[in-house]
Amino acid sequence: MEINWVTVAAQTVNFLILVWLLHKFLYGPVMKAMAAREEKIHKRKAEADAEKEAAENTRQGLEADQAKLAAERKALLEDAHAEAEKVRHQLEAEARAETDTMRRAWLEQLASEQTEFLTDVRGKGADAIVEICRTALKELAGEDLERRIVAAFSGKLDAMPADVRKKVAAAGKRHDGTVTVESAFPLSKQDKQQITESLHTAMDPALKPKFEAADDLLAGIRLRADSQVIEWSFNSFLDQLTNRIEEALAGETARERRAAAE
Amino acid sequence: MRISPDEWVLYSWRELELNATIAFTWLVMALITGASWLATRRLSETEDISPFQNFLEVLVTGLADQIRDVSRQEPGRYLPFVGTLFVFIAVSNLLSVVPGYVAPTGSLSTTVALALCVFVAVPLFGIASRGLFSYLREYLRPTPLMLPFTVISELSRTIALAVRLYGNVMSGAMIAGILISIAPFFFPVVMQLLGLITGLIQAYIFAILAMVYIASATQASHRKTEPDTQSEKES
Repeated sequence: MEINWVTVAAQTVNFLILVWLLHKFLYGPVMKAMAAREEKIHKRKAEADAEKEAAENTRQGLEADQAKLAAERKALLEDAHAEAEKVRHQLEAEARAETDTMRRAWLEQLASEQTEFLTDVRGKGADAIVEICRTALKELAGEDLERRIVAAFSGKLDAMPADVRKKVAAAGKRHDGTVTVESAFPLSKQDKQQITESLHTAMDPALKPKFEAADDLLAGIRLRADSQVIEWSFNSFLDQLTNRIEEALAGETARERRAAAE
Repeated sequence: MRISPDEWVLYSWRELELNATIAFTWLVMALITGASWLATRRLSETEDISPFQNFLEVLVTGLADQIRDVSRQEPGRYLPFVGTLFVFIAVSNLLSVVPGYVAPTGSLSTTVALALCVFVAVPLFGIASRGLFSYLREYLRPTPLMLPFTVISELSRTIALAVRLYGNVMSGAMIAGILISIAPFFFPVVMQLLGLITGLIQAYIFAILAMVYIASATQASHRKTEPDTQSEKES
């Protein structure tokens, strides 16, 4: 067990050389390669993290866009609903206005037709009534209608209050005693004679009746002296008839209006 | 039977002798360096690496981790010295299975040389790490009376390093030689296998102890304030 100091020195040198060699050929390159690989992995991880972050940002952006689109869609739908509601109201108002106009026109037309009908009824009714009365009078009593009218007119003159008779007489005198007797039918000589006598008897013998035909009278006789007028005709009966028809029509029209409103 | 390969002179020229220790050391050096050069010639920096490069990386990483564990420092500056101690002793011991090969670590001269390297490296690393005066002051702590004991401790542990390795390797070779002469078939194989394990363990112990000595020199002041950070191991 001896120590060879030359060998010791040689081995020391050998070992130091080996340290240098291994540092150059083993530890240095291997550590460097591992560090480079680690760096690459870190870099890739960083890239992956960055890409992940970018993807996350993109995802968030897309979600925000989606939310925005949804909000816009909702707003558009609300606008469309509001617009549709507005148009609906407008159309309703227009339809209502049109209906009102049509209804008013219809009512006006109805009223016009009613008036026309009444006028027609009045004219035709008067003729019919006169004719019926004439026929009935003739068949039942053997009398002429015109004769009965003249008689009724004479009776009415007789039955007039005294003050009215005086007023009419005074009015006649202001025009040289001329009073106008209007009739719907031509008076016979006998009728004129009877009326003249009745005037003279009831009012004043000085009165001079002037006989005229009047189209507006319906089977009646009218005495006109200045502003005084005495009349006996079918007009009042016709008025009553017209009023009753009008009442009946008014009831019918009201029912129709209610039905139209419903 | 030769106890030491120093006595096996292969070539002599005037006063100089080339003994087996130096020759096998050169062989081991050539093998290690050649293998390293071959492996690191085309190192891959990608994840796709050759098995041999993988092995070298495992080796280097393992050494670096051991140094980090023992010293609690970054292993970069200690790796070449401590790593080479381990690799050289391990390869020297493992090759003893090759017939005709004599491990240079079975020579006291080699182990003394290695122990001397550690003996010199410890103060060098300590001074490099802490500065000359700070390092020398450590010898006077806790009291200057301890200086002789500290110096004796430094010397004795160096001698222990050398003798421990030499004794283990030489005794392994000796026992194998004796057993071959007594029972040439079975026992020598078993003893060779045990010798491989012993060789690796001795390489590990030598390198770790060297690292512990270096770490204690570089971190002595830290040890005072942080007693748990350092643990000296003696085998």
